[in-house]
Amino acid sequence: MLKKILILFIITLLLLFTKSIVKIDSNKVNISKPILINTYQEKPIGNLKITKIKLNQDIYRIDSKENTIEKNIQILKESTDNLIIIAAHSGSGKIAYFNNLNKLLINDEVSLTLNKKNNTYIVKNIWEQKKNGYINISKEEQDQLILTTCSPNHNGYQLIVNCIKKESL
Amino acid sequence: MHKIKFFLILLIALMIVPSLSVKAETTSFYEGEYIQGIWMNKYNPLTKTTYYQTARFFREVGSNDFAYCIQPFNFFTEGSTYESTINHTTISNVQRDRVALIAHFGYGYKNHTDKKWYAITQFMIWQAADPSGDYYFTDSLNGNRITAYTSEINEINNLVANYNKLPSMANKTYDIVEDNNLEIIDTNNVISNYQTTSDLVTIKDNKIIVNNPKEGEYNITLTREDKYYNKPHIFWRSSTSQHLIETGDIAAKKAQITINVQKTTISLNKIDADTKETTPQGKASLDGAIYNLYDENNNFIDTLEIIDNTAEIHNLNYGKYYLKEEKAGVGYNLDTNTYEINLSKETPIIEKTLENKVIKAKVTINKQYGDSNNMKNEENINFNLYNSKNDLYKTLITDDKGNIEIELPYDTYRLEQLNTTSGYSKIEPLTIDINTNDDITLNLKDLKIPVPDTHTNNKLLIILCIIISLIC
Repeated sequence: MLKKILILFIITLLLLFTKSIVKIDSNKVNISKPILINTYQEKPIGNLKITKIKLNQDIYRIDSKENTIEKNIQILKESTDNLIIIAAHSGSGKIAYFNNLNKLLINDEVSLTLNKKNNTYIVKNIWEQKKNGYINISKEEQDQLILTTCSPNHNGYQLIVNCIKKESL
Repeated sequence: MHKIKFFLILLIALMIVPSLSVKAETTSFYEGEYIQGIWMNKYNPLTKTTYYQTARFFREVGSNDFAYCIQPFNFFTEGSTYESTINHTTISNVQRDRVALIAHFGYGYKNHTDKKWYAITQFMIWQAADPSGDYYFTDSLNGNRITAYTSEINEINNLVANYNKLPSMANKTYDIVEDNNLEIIDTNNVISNYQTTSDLVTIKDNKIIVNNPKEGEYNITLTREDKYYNKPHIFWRSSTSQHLIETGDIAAKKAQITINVQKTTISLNKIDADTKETTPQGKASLDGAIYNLYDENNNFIDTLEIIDNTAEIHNLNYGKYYLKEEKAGVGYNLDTNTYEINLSKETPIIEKTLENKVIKAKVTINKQYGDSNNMKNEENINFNLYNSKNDLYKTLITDDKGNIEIELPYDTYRLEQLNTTSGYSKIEPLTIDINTNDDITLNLKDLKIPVPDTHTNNKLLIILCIIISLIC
């Protein structure tokens, strides 16, 4: 009986602290190198704001160590001036920033600020494709913002949200 | 019985025939009162004889109507029998007409009531009837030659000349267009003395107005009648005395004008400049084009709108016109040309075929694939191009450079990619709107972007669950 209570307690603790475990992991570097924390802590170059899913997350330079889905939302290196591709985790845990990406609908607004320049994008289309380590997208004439994460609805599928810059519509 | 009928008819005929035969009227004249203060001389160059007299009336016995001598060097014999004659043979027709006119407009005409007018009229009739003679007024009986009554003579001459003058439009033909009124001004300024029974024209002031004419040829008779005396003038001849004329109305004067009324039509036919057909290209429309019509002085006349590929305007007057497109049909470029049109009686119907060039754009499609930093041209990619009616307009294939070039007329098209390089998706169907002549370039890029695994890592949780399960 005592064993079972102990197991239940441990499981409860694990479930409660899973997020903080990730957080701790992500701060490990900072802890091991406390002096460098202040010196190299990067400032974000912008942020992604999607009011509908209550997302407001900082964005870091492409070559930044902060620019990783393990910490933040990530701008993929294939991005260009008129095609910005952002990936992030979905599922559980604090870094699952795109957990509610599937709640976006066509014509919803997405706000992206980069280097102090704010642009609003409109969701043009949303689709899923089988996960294979790549996403297939068509480059359009207008400036595009692609948001991608694992499909919360279909295991083994990648969710892709294609947005078009509002002012280029 | 038949014989009786025949006899009766014959009897009636014999009774009627004599009453139908022309019976010359006879009368006699006398020398009436003198006109005091007016003396006239006549000189006959043939006999070199001068006759002098105090002006004096001739009057008809019974009626006392006055008459004039028309043989100035023949003597009047009182009591002679005169008979009327239509064809007076001692003077020419021209002289006869002039003598009749002088008599008509002379003494007794309107305000010519003073007796001097009789003397003046007689004087002028002598001159007309025998121009070889020398006639003049004198200051006394057989006195000195004087020039007198010039203004009165001029007045009668003017009245005669005016009567002889036909309206300037007489014997002319006028070509006009249906429903177009025409005003013809009489430069001889006599038309107001004429009348017509035609419903087509009215005479007003110094002009003839042709009202609302309909297609056809009209011969209009203009008549001048001067019924002042309500009796005809009569020439009297006698075998024993000088011939006379009795004043009266003159024969009606007639003039003819011919009016040809024609319909005119300007007819426009609209076609596509490329296909030379009336069917428009794409979703363009040849209908709805608007042309403005101007006269040769650039005054706006009317607007013609193309409906069912045609437009017409009827019964414009003869003349030169200019046609300019103001608005092209939807999807067509404005035709900037100006077209000259000449409507005439020889060319009353003008048909013009007018063209418009459809709005057309050169569309260049470049198809590439790769990641955003390493793109390759995609060869042999097929696209179906559908028009706004959802009909397949054309199937297009990219060349070795991934390019397609096509010229598309005004329409909205849907481009659908049919095949792709393995591992790459097709582009979403896209819309191509051709509504200007500007070139369009479409860069179609299919990208294959590597993405990190975005599924949250819960391995730790799974491992712990396994450990706990093992402990239990």
